[in-house]
Amino acid sequence: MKSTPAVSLKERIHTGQLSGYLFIAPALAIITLLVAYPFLKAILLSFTDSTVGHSGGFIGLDNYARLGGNETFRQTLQNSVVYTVFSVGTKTVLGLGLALLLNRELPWKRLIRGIILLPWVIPSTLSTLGWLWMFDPIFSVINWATVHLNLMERGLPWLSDPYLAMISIIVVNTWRGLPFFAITLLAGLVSIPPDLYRAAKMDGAGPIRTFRYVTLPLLKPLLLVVILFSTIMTISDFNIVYILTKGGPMNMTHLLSTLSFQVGLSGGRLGQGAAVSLFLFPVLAVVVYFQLKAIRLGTTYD
Amino acid sequence: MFRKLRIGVEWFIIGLAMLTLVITGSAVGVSAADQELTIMVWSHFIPDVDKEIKKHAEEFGKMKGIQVRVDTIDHHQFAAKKAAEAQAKSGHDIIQNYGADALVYQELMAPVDDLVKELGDQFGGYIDLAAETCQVGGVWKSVPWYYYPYPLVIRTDLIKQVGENPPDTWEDVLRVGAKLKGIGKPVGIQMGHSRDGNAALLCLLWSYGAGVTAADGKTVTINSPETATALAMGKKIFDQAMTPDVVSWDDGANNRAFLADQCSMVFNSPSIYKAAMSKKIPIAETGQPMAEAIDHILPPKGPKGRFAFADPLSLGIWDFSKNKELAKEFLKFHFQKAQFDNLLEVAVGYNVPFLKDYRQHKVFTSDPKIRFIGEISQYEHTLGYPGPVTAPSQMVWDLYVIGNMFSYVATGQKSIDESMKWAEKEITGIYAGQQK
Amino acid sequence: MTSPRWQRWLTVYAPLTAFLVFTLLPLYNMFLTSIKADSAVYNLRLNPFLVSLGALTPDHYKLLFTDTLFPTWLLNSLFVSLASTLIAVAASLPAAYAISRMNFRGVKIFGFAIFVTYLVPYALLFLPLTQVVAGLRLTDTLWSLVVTYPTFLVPFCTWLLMGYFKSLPVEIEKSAMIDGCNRLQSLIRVVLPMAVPGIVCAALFAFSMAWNDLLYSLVFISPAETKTLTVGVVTELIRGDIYYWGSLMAGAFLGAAPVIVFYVLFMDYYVSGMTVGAIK
Repeated sequence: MKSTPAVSLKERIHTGQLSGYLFIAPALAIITLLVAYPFLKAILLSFTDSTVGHSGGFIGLDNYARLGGNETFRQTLQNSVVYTVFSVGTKTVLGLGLALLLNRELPWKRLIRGIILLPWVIPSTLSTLGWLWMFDPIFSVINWATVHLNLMERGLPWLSDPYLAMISIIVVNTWRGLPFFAITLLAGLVSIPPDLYRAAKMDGAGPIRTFRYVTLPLLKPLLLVVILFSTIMTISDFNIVYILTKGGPMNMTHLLSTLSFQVGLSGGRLGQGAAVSLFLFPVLAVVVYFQLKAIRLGTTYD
Repeated sequence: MFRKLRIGVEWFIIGLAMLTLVITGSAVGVSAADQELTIMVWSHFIPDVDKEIKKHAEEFGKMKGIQVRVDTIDHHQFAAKKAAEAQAKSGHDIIQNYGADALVYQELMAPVDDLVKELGDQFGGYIDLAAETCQVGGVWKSVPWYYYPYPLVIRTDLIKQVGENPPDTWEDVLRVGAKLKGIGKPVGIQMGHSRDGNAALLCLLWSYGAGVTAADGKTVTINSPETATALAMGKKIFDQAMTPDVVSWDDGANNRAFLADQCSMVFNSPSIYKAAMSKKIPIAETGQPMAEAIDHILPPKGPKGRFAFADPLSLGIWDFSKNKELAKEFLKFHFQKAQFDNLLEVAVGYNVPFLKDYRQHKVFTSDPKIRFIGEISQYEHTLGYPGPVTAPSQMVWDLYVIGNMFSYVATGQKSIDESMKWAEKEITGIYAGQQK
Repeated sequence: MTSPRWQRWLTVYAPLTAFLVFTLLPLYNMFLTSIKADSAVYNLRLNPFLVSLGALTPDHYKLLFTDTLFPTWLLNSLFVSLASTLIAVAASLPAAYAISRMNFRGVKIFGFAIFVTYLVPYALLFLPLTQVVAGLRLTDTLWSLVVTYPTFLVPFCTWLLMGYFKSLPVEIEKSAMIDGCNRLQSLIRVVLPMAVPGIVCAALFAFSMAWNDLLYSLVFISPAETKTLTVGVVTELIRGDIYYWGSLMAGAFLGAAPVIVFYVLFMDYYVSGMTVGAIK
């Protein structure tokens, strides 16, 4: 947009060149003062050996170097990958399935949709407390049910066995995030023109082929966007792990955010804690880069 | 687009919300008043203790014509809150210190030698543990308050039922525990992320002659034949006398299990006994009051002796506080007989004082089930033993390294050797990073 | 789609029921525990899915109102969530509009910056933020939260509104501007009314995200009467070793209530905003 020489202020406002800056000013102020500034401070902190009681000196990349050799940290990275991949994967599959179900002719559709959205709407801190009770080693209703239905001899130690604990947090994350997938994908399904389905049927395609060649390709762009945001939210999750396991047992459910909390605050090593949580940033950046690429690729032949 | 009525309801709600916003906003938006003394401590598991402290605050405030506020924070979140205050160099005036906090935060704690000396002179002096935790480089950085003892809590009826006497050594615990597991009431020692577990396992290590460091407080000695023996014993107890979930039990789980008649022997401060008494909890199977079947005995002996863990708390004054003299006056007030006696009373013997005179309080001598207090102090040690309390020893505690070490071996995830090497690496890393 | 009854049951109704049970089970359990007497809650011999009339009790809810500052916490959360939502939406709206409709130097970078902010870990920022809050002398006040919550609300709301704006037809605005409106007027008079569902949706999301926060309100506020609901419930109904499960569940249930109320009232906006916002 080339501006003619000597454009008056009034014209500037009118065409939006000045108002644009005004429009983004409040958001920009918030981000600069309350995000960028603390973020930079956190980066600086990660280069020091500060503790909670003592602001330390500059030690360069020492904190980061030490992370590489630390087994707990490596375990945490592994946990993060497992947790994210399986949570997002489960949510995708189940979300798609649920969306397909909700797309059918159903009685009380509005009520059902309302119920399905509940886990997403309820504050996760509070609903996770409910799950903590569900997984209680002694009073778990899940264990009670499986034992009384004679499916098992004794209940499962949901939060004490390292593998079950990981499954538990994945279950809770899925429970919470499923509505997001389901409702959003449902909207995508609804926007697919019915003519396409009719045409496919006339060509003799059964439900599976219809899904593969009609539904899925049209849904793909939306699916990728939803997966992207879910991935970001899942990797940086804090509340669920903090409330259910605090990273245990044996550090097998620690995520980067909870580990940084434990090292930085419980352990008092602020510099190191900052380094751990800053690790999240490049991890996220890499993940996001690849997903954005996939999205762009996905939409080019749209 | 929408029927008029629907819009009406929704906008009414929004209007109401706005009104609430304005009203509450004007009511609470003010920052803290100036002449106010503020105190931050853990929320005690006995709510009455918190109430008593707040009472002292109120009385003192009335006397001096100022506001005194006590904030109680759950111990899980306490560290975060404290770190935030240290970072911001602003917060409460008096802050609770536990473990090695006095050391970790020494640069930010105001010296309190005058007050400590005065109280010591007035009340018969302090036990040695006090200086271990509150003195840094010869300067008192925190006022010793009280500590939580960790006896072995047992169900006398169940032990009798399997034809045994209360255990005296760790071998006893193994033998008796195996029988108890046989009747479905196993032992419940946490092996994971829990303070009770930390305390119990440290006792186990010490009684076999093992330790995190040597007496110099710097040489890491966790990887040793003594530790291996202790780990082997831990594994045996896990396999024969406990259930697998103990590796995920937190600090509340052993309480719950005990009170639900699911386990028979735990390491705990007497909160279980207190809960059983106050809530009149019955033994699930017989309906008898559980409090009658509970007893507290000394922690078990090992080949190298008997050791008990003490969890010490003290009260410090932030150096950045603007009310340091006032804070000292409050603390002095709090420790006078009229106030402190009441505190000990409502804590029903769970807060064990450092001041020698107060250890004679009748609450420790009247209930036979708490008689252990008279004997246990000769065995008591805290973080860092056999060395002094240090910041890295606190971190080892906070990161549950010992708990993890035992749980790796118990669950078979690592061999004894591998687990010790892992712990050694973790602990050395922790000790290396700290100059103090 | 008239398939035989049994087939419909297998492929539609059964899985749907399974999803509904999965969704409702924890909530049902929470609710039931909150109205059951302690003796029934901690008794393993009883069926936990049912409650006998004799074991029903309002005690847990009563405790919330008599022994804790629950009503105060509720009001605090309400205030903080409403205020920070207002600020977040007010900041995000023009920003989203600018990014999706306007083209000036730096707008693309700004859009990217918003997205990057979304990636900054929330559990990292709080420590440096304590210094900012202390510097502004807002420690121990609810305003500390009102000021800091927008840090994670604004990126999310901006993204949502951006997607929403992109789905609105440009022609109407163009014709308004030809008629003489400047950008601001066109935003207020033309775009805003069309975007109401998206705005309501963003506001609802922001409200629940603010309501849900635990970490910031824990760290910035200590006095019990200034705590927000999540902090109050988690810190005062769990004392060291002891979990007061009955009241904890009651607190969690009641605590979720306002959010659910808003959601039920505005559900249509919610769903439409959510879906339109995601489909660019």
